[in-house]
Amino acid sequence: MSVGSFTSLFYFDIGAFLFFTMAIAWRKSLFGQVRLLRANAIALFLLGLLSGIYAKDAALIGLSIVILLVRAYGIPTIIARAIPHSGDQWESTRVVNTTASILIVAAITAFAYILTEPLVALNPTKRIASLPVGVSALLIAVFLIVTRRRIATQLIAFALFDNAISACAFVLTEGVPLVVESGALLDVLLLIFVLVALASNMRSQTQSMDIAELRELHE
Amino acid sequence: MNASDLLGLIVLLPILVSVALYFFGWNGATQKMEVVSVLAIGVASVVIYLDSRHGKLLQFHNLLSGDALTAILLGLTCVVSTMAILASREYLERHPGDQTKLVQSNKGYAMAMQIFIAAMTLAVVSDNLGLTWVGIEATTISTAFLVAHKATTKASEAAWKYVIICSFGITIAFFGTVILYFSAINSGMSPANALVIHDLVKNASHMRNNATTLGLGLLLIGYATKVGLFPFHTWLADAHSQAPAPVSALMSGVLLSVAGGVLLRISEISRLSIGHKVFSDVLMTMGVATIVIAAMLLVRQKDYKRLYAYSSLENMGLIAVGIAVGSKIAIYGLIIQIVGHGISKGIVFITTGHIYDELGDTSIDSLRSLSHRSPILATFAIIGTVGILGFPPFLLFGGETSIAFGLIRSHDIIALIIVAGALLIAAISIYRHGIAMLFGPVGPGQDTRPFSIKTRATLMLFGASLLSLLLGIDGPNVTTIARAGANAIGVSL
Amino acid sequence: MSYLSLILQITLIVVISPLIGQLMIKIKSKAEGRRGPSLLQGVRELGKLLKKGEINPIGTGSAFALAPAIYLVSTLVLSAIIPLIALKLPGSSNYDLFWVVGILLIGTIALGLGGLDTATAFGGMGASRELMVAALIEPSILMAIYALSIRANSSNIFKIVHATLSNPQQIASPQSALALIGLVIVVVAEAGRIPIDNPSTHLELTMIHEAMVLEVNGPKLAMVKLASSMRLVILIGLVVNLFFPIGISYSTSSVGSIILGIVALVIKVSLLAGLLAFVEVFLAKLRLFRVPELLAGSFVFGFLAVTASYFLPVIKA
Repeated sequence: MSVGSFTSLFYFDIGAFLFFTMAIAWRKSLFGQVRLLRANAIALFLLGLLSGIYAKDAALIGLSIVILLVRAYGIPTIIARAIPHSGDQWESTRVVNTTASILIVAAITAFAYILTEPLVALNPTKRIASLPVGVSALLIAVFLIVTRRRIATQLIAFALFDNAISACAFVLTEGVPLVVESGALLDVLLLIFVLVALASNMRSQTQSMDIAELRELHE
Repeated sequence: MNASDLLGLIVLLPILVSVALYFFGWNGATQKMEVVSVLAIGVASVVIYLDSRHGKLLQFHNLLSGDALTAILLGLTCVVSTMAILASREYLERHPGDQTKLVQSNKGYAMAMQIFIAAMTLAVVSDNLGLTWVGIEATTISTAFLVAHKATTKASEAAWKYVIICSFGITIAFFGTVILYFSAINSGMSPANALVIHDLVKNASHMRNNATTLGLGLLLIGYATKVGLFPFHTWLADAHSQAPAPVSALMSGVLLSVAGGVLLRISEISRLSIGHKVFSDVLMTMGVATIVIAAMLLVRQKDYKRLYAYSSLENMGLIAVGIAVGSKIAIYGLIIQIVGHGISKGIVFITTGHIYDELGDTSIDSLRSLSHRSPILATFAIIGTVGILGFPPFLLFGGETSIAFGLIRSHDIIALIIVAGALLIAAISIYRHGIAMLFGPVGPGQDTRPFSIKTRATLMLFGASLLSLLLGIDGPNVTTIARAGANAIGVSL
Repeated sequence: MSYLSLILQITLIVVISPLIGQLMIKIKSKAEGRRGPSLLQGVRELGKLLKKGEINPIGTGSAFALAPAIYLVSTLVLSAIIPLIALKLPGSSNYDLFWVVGILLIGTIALGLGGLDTATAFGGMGASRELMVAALIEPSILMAIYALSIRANSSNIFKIVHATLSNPQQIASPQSALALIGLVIVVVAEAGRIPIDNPSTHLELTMIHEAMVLEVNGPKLAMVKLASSMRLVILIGLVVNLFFPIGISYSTSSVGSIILGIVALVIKVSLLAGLLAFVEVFLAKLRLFRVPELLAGSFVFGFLAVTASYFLPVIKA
């Protein structure tokens, strides 16, 4: 694979990654959001696969396949279990409405560009030039965690946040060492599992899927 | 077997025990295995300490390592974990959960406890920032089950907040790890060593750039969340007050300090790369703010478990201040602080657990005249509380004064005044609430029946109290050990 | 020759736009399993309308009288300033993308004023909605233009298309893809098609464009209908040539290349129009309240295209 075509494909893929992240800020259907999370994780997998094929690194290709299994299959499937199969499947109680969200997302990308300038300047290769895209996805995920109230969306935003960090790792360093990345994957998987278990616990106790209802504990 | 293999063994052993628990259930044999796995940590602590006195650094495949600071934290882990495991037996007898559900069963509880201990041990002995991260994140996951063990709405809510806030913070730390790795590789380190803490320390002087600053800043935010520093402190009181008492003891006494230990390691890298100033300014602000917030929340506290949770917050703030000062005396002080706080907080939380089991309520107003109802529990409550307030002869006295000296020597007089004032307010509040609970008159219609406590539990608390007293009295040895710990961080006056 | 080809271009647009409009209806019908009207139906309707007499609603003034004419003339001007069949048309060095935006808006505003002039409920409602959409389109279209201009260092259409022709690889970049998505949404909104507006209905309270011209009749309605379909063809042609300028003739000197340019344009526009119509089959019209969401989305695409043009280095073959 030539440098030019690798970079071109890499840019397209990371662009798609950001696109799916942004689309989650737009979608209201919870199942739709889960599908977008899957698409987002597949883009992440392709990012790893591309880097692996380009660098002829079998470990990286293996890692991206694990990413595909855990992030594109495992985590979204677990999150989908936190969505009630009957009743309210829409994420309609937002702190910030959709139009404003979309515009804030635009502002976030510009901010990410400013934020990452010193990092990119440190090693200005073509691959690292796409770091702002990864950081934008990261900040969008933070924005979603802060402004979304449904438990499922919070979980999705959390998974997105993690995907974005992995994407940044691929952009910056072709992925962190295998031990760390596999530990991280396992942790995230378990974490989402724990959160879904807690969510179903709370639902059976309080009949609510809105974290604004969590008011028992306070000073 | 090589001595450095011990490092791997003490992480593996609790995991094996939890596997055994899964297959054989929580019975006499597996209960003994629980204790063995924890005592192994103590043995490792001694071995590592003795080796470190000969200037030898135990290392295990670029992944684990042990120096004097590791030994101290492992020793603390061993002591408090033993207390927690023994106290868990009382707790599980009193609160039998739904045994058909793994998460609520005795077996599940014991398994989560072992994995929690393994994760903490991993975070302590890890010499790789990535592995440290895995360990700390694993503590969040395992304690989530423990915090929610009571299966009440409140417990689930506390666990939810705990997991969301902590894992969010820890994920930020992961991003920081990635960026530090990028910066280390750019400075010419090989990918295999770019996350090894000891190698990073050696190479730090080549890493003076913006990426390092950003990476370290993110690591600071991430691990500060786990320590419970302001503004990420909100999960702490909820989780500690809802968790079963032995879990609270372990979380407050050890887990917070383990995360503090990670901050200490990171501060060393920061001091040698980007300079101490930026890192310490942020950490100092967070630490002082944490102490002030904790003191304010202590004044009108209505729940005795939350009271002690906020006291942990205050102590963690002090440890952060110690790291921020960064001089030898401050590091020395904070190491003593970590040990003293861990043991005393263990005693206090386990005692409150016994009180709660009898009383069935955690509000301060519901508990009056403890000294009449159970002189034994009252004694342990006093020993523990006096310990965490930093009265002589307990260890915290030495710790707090050393950190105060550190502040004076670095001319941080304003910080000193604020910290001292807040500590005084905190001490007065705890004292006032404590006196009311111990000796306050019983209100009309309140239950006055005496509390019972098992001999086994008494003996355990007695042992722990004796240890905390002895450590306080045995000045010379404690000083030597704490000095060795401070040396491991490489600070000099 | 060059003025001749300009006249040829304008004539071509006038001739093919009713056919393209009818083609879209035909494709939609086929996709929905109906036979659909013949391709010449659009021309027949225009002929019928031209033969009819005119009725002016009581109380309307010059705004209503002039609106269709201004709308048509602005569209004709538009078809003269965009290189559709050949690049080097007379005056092409002066024609900027910003002109296109301005001239589009003149027509929209004229029609909006005409709608208000009738003082009926539908006219006012349609005008206000149309102008709302127009106002929301404006930032998106400017952003997309900005993104395209960065590539060519100019907002001149001639230079942008020329830059694309001389370095076709730069089209295969995320910034171009983003600008393309942004512009397509804008075109759909500007042409009043699903999911923004439904051109084939007069029965719903949700209609936008058709409500505005409800009172227009006879030859005036023919003008409006012709201009509307021309606008769609021109905008599609513009997008096609900005991103895929294959086949466009560079100069106007040779007859062969002009003919090639015409054929290429007709094929490209028919393909994209057909694609649009086919996609429309699967979409429902958005509620008016959600239109701003979509247009904010297109704004973000344009905005991202701009930021990406700054931080992603251009890949040269």
